[in-house]
Amino acid sequence: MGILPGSQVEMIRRAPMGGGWYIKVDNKVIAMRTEEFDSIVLQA
Amino acid sequence: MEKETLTSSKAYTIGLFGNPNCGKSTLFNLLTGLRQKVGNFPGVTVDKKIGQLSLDSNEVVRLVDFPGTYSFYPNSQDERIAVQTLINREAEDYPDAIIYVADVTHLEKHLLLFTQLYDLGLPSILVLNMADQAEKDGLKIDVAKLKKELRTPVYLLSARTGDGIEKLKDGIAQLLQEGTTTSQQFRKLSITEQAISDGIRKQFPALDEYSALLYAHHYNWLPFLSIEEKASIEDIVEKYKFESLKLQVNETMERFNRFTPITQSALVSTQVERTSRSLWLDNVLTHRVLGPIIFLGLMLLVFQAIFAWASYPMDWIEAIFGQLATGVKGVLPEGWLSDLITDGILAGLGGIVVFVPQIAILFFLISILEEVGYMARAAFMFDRVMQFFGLNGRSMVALISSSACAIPAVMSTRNIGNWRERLITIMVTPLISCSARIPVYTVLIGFVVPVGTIGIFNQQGLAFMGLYLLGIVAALFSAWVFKKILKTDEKSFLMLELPAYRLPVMRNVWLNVWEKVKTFLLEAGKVIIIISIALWGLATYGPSKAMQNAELTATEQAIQQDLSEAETADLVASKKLEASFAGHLGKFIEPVIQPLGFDWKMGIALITSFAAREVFVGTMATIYSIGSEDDESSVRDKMATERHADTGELVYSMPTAMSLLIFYVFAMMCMSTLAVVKRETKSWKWPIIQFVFMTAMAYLSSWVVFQSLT
Repeated sequence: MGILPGSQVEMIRRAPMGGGWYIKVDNKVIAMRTEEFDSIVLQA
Repeated sequence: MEKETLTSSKAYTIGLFGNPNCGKSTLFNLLTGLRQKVGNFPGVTVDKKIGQLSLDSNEVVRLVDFPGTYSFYPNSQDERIAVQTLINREAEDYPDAIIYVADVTHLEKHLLLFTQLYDLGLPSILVLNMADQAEKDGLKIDVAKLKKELRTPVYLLSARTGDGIEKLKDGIAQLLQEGTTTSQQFRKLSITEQAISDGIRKQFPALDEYSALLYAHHYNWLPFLSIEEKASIEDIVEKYKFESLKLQVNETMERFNRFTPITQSALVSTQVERTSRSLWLDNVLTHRVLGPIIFLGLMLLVFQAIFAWASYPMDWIEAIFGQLATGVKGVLPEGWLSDLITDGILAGLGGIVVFVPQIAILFFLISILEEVGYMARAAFMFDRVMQFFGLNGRSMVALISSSACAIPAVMSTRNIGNWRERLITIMVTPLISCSARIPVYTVLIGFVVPVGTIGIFNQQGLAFMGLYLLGIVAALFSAWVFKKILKTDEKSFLMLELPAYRLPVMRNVWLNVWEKVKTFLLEAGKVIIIISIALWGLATYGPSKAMQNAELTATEQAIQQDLSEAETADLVASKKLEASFAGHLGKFIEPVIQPLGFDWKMGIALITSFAAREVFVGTMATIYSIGSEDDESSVRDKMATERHADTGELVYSMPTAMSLLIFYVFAMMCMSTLAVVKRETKSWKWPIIQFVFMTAMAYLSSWVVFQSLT
């Protein structure tokens, strides 16, 4: 879906009842579950 | 729809590909309009849209809309279709040429699949969609440069406004005349990949290099390969120690590395922050507290619309069919033919058409919410809670709208991508109390709860709410049970793009409404009309002698009691219904329903309720021979005074009425819903399972209630 090594990831918010993540990758907004979110390796 | 000229030898097939949210469907609708139909991709429940495209040259082109796909390395059933079709020349929808649609405002992500398609060598066109948005964002696009770098015809257009569409049509005509397959590669295979590809090509000499490599990645699930072929590919793959996942990542990265410089040089952005407006809106719309409240508010509006606004056109439709029936009765001589047409066919047709306003209104509103980009947010917000019950964030919409009517609700599950979650949603949706149960509840509730108040609340109102809550709890509980039972190898995941909010394209909305209504009328309508005629036959005919006797005794009785003409007709209708096959059936099932506190009269009502639950009231009116005045209060009054002939006890005692109410909450008594479930799941298996589990649940609960109250 275009989350590549080197992409800028920004966490915007979590879902109202937990579980979901609302993130911004480069200039796209994507929602995902925790399982998928965990597989993103962040590098400051 | 148009005649099937599509398969004639002259016709070309063009495949429409692109990532999700690239505006592909909008372009498809623009190119084909109403000349489209929905089918299935072989072996899966994914909808396939095929449309006809007429070019100036009078050539007819068959346009196939493939599901939104991110790459040739699929994550879901939908995504598999693109790759499995394109590497199989024998496939039914194998295209002669390809139109690839990319959102030009996200070109740096959308070109991945394009470069993969390119390496298969089919003649293709690249459409850069959303030109209007790009202009607003201050994005400058160098089309000539892209054309040169990608060695492909490129068209910049806006499917929303229709700008640039004529040029695309010319381009398609040109492609069909001049387009040839190429052996040029966007990306050369690595040494390892080349070795595998060559190995596989020894077995399948007709394949190109890249297809052969894709065979090695996907042979496990490719449906068109035989067991022997899979085994031989497995041997090759093992021989070369093929590491599928690692190679997929490498290939993807290499492709990005190659086309990123191209997009960077061809697109000049003067934009500031494109998504800022959407992000601001989402601060409110997906807010922890406000988000769910706004969603429930919107759903309340949808519910209100189906429930209240639809009632006017529904009344008109009922009135029109009533007029038609009277007209036919006036023209045709009295007899079975006139009865068949009015009480069988016209009643059945009316019963189908009457649902159209609800379906149209629901899909009008849902399509708008979908087009605007809100539905993806709603799915995101409720996904976790629904997950617990084996459902999907999108199931919320179906569950809520089924409190108006289960039929549009079942049809609205189409956009749930995961098959298991969609199936569970369909299975439990009819447990939510729909509007057809209201007349039944109204008639019966007075026998259970007396008029009065508890604090500030009306007692009967509270009981009403209790019945609704019971339906909701039952739906969620059954969903949870189904989740435990149904196993799947399809991994459930949720990764949604949340596209920027934009105004809806009304053409898409209307086409969606039209398609849903048409599907319902044609597919479900067939089943409904057959069952409706059968029910009519059961209630009208009986063993001929018994029917004659019934009429005679009723007439004699009427003369003895000096009844008026209307009263006589009511009495005759009542006795005839008792003597009919439906009456016999009611008596036949009496031993089965006796433990629930029901007698054969209620048995008849249960059978006829299958046409629609509200028929309960009309049937009761006929049985108690007040057919000419079948409003709810007179039926209620009559039922309230009814006593058992042998014991003299009230028939509608509290336990019986309670048991009957519970039965109506749970039981699957709606042939229209079953017909729609059959259409949506594409087999009789699921509606049958649904009927059995809901009826079993109804029977057991009613039994427990009745036995514990007496």
